[in-house]
Amino acid sequence: MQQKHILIAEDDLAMQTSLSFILEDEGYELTTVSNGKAAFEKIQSSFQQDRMFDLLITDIQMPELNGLQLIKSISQAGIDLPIIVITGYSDKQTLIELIRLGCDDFLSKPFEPDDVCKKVLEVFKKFDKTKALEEKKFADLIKQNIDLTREIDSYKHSFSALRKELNNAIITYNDLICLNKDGYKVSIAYRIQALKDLGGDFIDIRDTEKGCDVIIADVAGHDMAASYHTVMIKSFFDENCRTQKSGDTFFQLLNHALLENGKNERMVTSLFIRLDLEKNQVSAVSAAHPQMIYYNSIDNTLHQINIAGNFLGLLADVFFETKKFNVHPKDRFILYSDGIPNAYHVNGVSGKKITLTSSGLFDLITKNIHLPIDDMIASVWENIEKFTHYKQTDDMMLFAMEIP
Amino acid sequence: MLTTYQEDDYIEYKFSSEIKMVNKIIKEVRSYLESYDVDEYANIILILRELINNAIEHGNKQKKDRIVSVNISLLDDKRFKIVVSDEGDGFDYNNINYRMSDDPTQIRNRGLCLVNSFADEMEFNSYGNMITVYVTASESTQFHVEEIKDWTVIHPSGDITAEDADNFRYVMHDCLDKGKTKFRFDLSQVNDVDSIGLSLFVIFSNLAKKKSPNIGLEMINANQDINNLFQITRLNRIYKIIES
Repeated sequence: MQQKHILIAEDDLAMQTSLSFILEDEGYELTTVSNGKAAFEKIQSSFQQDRMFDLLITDIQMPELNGLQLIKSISQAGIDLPIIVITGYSDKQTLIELIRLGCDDFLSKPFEPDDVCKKVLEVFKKFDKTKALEEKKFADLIKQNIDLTREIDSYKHSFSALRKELNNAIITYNDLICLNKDGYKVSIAYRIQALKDLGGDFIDIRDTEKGCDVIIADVAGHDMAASYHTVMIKSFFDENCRTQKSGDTFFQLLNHALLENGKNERMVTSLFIRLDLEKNQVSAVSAAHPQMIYYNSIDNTLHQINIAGNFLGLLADVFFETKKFNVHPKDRFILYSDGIPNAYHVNGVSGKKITLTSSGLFDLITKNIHLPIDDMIASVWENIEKFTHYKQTDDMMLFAMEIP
Repeated sequence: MLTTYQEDDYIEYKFSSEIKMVNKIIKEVRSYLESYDVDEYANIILILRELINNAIEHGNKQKKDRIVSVNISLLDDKRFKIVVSDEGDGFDYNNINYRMSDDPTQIRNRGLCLVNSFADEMEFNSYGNMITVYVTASESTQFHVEEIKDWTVIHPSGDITAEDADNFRYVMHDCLDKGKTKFRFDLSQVNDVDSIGLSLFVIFSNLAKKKSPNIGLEMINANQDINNLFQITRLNRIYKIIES
């Protein structure tokens, strides 16, 4: 263990000598000065050289800088040094001041050599204990830091693993839901823009023996949970194309399946169209979906087809109207999700929300109906984007098909 | 260099084109907004940062002696008009791509894109060195709950849409946990309920019925659109709609 170095500040030569004898005997290294100023200078220089004293024993009455002033200066300099003050009976008032200034202990005159040694040992013990506590606190903080860093790293790792899984899910979902642009018995054009990576809007078309079946569905919400329902609807649709059950029956089955999945209530709206190209007939069923727009090429008119029906997945007892009508070559059907009539922007000056509404969409289609189906959809979509100031707030889907 | 001019509901800052001025101005604007009781103004601050940065960096090319001018006027409750102008030559604002890119490395033009997505409307003067932005300080819907006689009255402070779902769910579970059996929704502040909002009403009624079969569910002060919505979804069979 390193030898402790004590600085003694005492102007009385006799006191200086006796203290030196006592402490050198105990094996301490000593430096003695006879005034406060010298003491402070020594302390400062040793502090700068990083060879600090381990203890200061100082008198109060000293020339140049007295004990009180010395202690004050040390404290102001931000130096951490244990101090023992030698006091006489006349210094009782200053005792209070000394305690306030932070001196560690006193040696009251007259004192025995044993008192000195005992006092010095006590002060060292206390000081070492405090230092050890501080070092332990510091070590604990370092350890906490390391632990936290480790935790953060593991979170980062989990997060990127989850993100990878999500990306894979998105790819799988998109592959599942993806719609080819052509290759069907009817020509189609569409735009789909989900609000987030996985959405609740869904459209599908399948060729059947006699023509094709089309379904558009909107699951409430645009999050991963909604996408689960979307996949379920797709599998039911695929199955129904095979079994060729009527639209009404299909929706009844779908409603039942959605209600069975008790935990996660989701409302679904949907439109189902069965196209018979041999008889040029359409049979359409709606489950509270935004009404489709029908273009009659013979008399060049555009109509909104209103079909009554309840929401899917809400109530057990549901009803769906089936509308049947004849179609002609070059007729068009336009289907969409509610994200489009609900599209809006806020007028800057008035703060009023201006919504597109279904009549707004109807107008856009009227303006573009004479374009080829791809250009029509492209133009209407662009107009909608401009209308919303390129700010999307819901899943949007626009689909058109033309009878050959 | 910074000069400030203030009137009723209008404040104007003129400052030199130095990057260090940005934080200073933002600090000033924050206290200005707080004096109007605006708690959620993050979108306004974001817009200002982007516009001021653009004005200093691209408009005035960081030339210290050139001035950037920012003025903010209060239009009405929580709505502001912000005008930022610089002394530069302007730029071609007709070719900005506002579609938020999926690619996060596209930093360059993201600024105005971001401003657009947080603002209600954005306008440029003919040169393109003055931008006017209209913005509403966003506020999520709060659900106030109070007991009136033996009815728990829930009063949403605004629309019930997807972004309010979590708040609503929390209030819902809280009320049910407390063992309440009579619920009345006061929809006087509600203009809009989207499909998520509707689902939440359905879920709430299902949860409530599971807790106790004799549940009271009422809806008051709903506007015509919401009334219609409840009729179409037949939620009027579950909630008693009280016409005001």
